[in-house]
Amino acid sequence: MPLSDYEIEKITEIVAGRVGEKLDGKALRQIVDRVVDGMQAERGNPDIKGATCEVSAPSSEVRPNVAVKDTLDPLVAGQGGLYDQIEKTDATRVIIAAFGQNRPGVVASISGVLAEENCSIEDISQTLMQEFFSMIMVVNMSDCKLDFAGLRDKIQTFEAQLGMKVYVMHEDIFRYMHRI
Amino acid sequence: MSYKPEEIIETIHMTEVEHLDIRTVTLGVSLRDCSSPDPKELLERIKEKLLRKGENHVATVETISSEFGIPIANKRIAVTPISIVADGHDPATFVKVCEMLDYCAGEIGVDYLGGYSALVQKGMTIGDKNLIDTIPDALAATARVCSSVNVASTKAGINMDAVALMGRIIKELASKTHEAIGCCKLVTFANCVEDNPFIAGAFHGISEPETVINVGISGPGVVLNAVKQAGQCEFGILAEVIKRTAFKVTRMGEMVGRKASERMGVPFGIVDISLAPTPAEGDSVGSILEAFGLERCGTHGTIAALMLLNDAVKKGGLMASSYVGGMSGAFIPVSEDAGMIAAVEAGALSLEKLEAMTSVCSVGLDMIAVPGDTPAESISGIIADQAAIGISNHKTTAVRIMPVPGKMVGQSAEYGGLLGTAPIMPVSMFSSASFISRGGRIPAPASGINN
Repeated sequence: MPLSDYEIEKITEIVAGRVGEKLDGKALRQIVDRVVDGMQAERGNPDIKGATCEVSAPSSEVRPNVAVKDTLDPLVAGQGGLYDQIEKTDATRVIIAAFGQNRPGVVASISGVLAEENCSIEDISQTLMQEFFSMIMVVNMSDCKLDFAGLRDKIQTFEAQLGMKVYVMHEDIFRYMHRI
Repeated sequence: MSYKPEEIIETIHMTEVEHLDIRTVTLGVSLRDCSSPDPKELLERIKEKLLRKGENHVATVETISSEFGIPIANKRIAVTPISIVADGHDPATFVKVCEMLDYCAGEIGVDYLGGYSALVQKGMTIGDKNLIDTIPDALAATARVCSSVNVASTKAGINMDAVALMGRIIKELASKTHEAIGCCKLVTFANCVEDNPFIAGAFHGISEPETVINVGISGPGVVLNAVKQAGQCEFGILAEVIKRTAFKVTRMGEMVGRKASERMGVPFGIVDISLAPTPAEGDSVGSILEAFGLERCGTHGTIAALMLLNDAVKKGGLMASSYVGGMSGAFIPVSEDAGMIAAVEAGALSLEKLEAMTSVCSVGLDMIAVPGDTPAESISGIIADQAAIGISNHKTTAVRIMPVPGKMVGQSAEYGGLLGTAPIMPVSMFSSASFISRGGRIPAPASGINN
């Protein structure tokens, strides 16, 4: 669609607001596509208030101080509103659980990797029922040198050595399933 | 600790032992802006838009699956009904559009794409007619494209011309594909929904946004396990157990949908809380009904059991998701459900019982194989019956039926994978031909005139 200078300026403002510091080519292209699609959709309806009316203004009219309210997709998480409040969490925590025959060095092996990768153990619980051992850790990986998959894979390499089943799972699974 | 150990163990048990998974994450893409009077331009626009909008779909969903340890069985695409996008073009162009959709689905890396569809509950445009006429050729020539035709609604009644036509189309499609496998990709609907993420009936409705993420849950295995653990309790407790389980399963769907929406920058549409079985052992709606205490799925009491299951899943799921939509009812696809297959083979479950079951659950007669010599008019009669149940009960019903050429009752058709094994089921030996040949439209039921 043909765009006026004013519209291009507004698109850029919206895109910059969304991308912040995490700019990469693919994300930028996706966001620009969506902003343009949204404008195109809203353009067809002059009754829509907000961004549309401002964007539809003649290009000669300069209104630098008008705040652009990004109302294009209120349901997309990460754009403010109720969902962000619900979603807002320290999403960098993982749950590590190990189950199996008791043997020395289980906690040491796992916590060794965590220390090496700069993760902190926020909580730990372990129980021993006869020979059966279970351990659950809540780990903060905010400063971890690896990403989630990297940390999981590294910890799970101990499975064979320890003869135990080790699960590394994102905290969000437990939060969604057990908390409202 | 912020989580109780039993909560953590329960979650691990659900994902590791009970195979809790998400059945599908479906990206809906509007193709309404791809129309063009020039066939080449039409194809180019569809290709450009689908590849652009779909390029990150599979990778994003796979990352979410790996990161959260929740298997996501399928990644799919739904598009605007092609009868609208390609209206005005000749039948040959419709087939080319279908081939282009197939190509794009392959490039994007999804196993199925839905939307070779038409909505004809009131009547057919030339585009609708061209689309329906080309379904046999289009589906026979492609592997990934799925088609659906809505022939009835509570507001419009039943388009009996379309019902008659679909009987013939299904027969023709069956004859053009091995073991009538093409018919597994074709659904005839009444009261279809616009945000269904499940194949083969998925399409991107005309009131949907540019793009949208819809999620379909799975979960019969998890529900089955919960029912078994509950033991011989009374029905109120049984319903409660299912509600709690459905809540947790739906929360996983909600989480996956929100993560996919956020990472792809696409609005989140709905979670479809249908229990979707697979041929895998234990992942069966039929087995859940048997765990209620029925010796075989299909015996007396089956409809009450299915009603309880469907209702309890809804009550649990509604609380767990901000936007429940799509079909949201238990699926009973015979060939895709090990418990249903066994029940048919044991003589416990008949076509007539399945028809009655569709009055209390979502989808209708799904994945039913019938003898290859079943007349087109009998298939139309089956469709008309389902449509009548749907529009009178204000619910979606559908028919996905395979008249397998050369096969008779006692044999079965092997499709493999999620489509499973379909035992050939007997149909009535009496003719519906004169009834179907009347044509025209059955008026909307009085209950549809509710303003």
